[in-house]
Amino acid sequence: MRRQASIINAFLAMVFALACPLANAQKDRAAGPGEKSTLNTKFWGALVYASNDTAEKQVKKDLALRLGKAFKQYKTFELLGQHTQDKVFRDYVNWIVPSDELNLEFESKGPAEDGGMKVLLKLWQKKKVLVKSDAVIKPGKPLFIAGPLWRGGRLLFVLELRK
Amino acid sequence: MNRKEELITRWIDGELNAETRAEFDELMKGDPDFCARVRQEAEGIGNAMRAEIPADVEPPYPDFFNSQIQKRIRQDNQPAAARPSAGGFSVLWWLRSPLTWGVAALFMILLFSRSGERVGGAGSYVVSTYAPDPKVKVERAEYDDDAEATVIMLTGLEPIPDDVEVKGRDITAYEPSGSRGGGIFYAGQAQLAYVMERDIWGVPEILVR
Repeated sequence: MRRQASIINAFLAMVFALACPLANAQKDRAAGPGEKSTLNTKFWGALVYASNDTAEKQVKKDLALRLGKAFKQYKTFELLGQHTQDKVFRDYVNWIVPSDELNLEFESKGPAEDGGMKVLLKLWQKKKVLVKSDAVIKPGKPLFIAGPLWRGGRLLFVLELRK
Repeated sequence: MNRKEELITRWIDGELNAETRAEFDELMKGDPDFCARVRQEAEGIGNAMRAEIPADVEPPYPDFFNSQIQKRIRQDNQPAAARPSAGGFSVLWWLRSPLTWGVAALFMILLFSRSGERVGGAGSYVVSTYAPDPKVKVERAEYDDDAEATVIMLTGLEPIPDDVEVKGRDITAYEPSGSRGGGIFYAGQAQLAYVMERDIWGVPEILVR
């Protein structure tokens, strides 16, 4: 019985311990600073069509090689759109929008201890969130997200942190 | 479970009706020692959590977590008559509890705060993933040594119809605008490509192309 009461109390403690800082964090973000501070970081995002057809505009050779290893069922990787972002806004939501079909929302959570950047990602397809993710992105080590099937192939989202 | 514990459980779960609410209020007034003990234990657990979890670790899905808290507050502010009756106990009543989800979130925090340490190698890595649509599954989310990339594989997505033309752009800059997290996107030197706005629910919409 006492153990059950302890579990109940743990519920209470956890709710208050976690809810209060979260609520405050949301408030701080909404207040917004006068100037937009940025991080000296460059992101590159791309919408890629993976298929076994011929491609009009292939992605660069190095990226195609990596995509081929990650998605072995596809032979060609066509670059549909890209977004190069030189500035990452510290206190704002950032977007990588290589196309209006699939786009990526991300918030920087600061530098990771072992290099790279901590980010909170949301991949949108039009008005629907496909996936949310907490991730650490390091330069030269891209993130590939396999999206919906389309015309016998698949749409992929590529996110890369560039030096 | 004795009556006191049952009442507290129901209070936490937002399942007190008018009758049990009065009984709960009486309990809180009539047994200050019990209330003090509950508070003390809760504080002890809170301190233990703060010692265990680094201050910069956030719950993996704070919006979901917050929605559960908001739901609980809304329930608490409803008039007693408007609340659903909590007449009978169901064997699985605890599954409906927002706090059951809270405990799940705690486990996720502990798990992810450790997994972050574990996978911190040379490559990028995923700390957590969450697909809001229950039909969508994250089949794989890991660093692929061969590809030297982190791969998130989603399955269960609706295919895009073949007659839909998926067009891409070559975006060169983004500038945030508005208070809801929208922005302006430029192509080339300074050519306007998109203007994005978000509605009150945070859903983005591309307004101008």
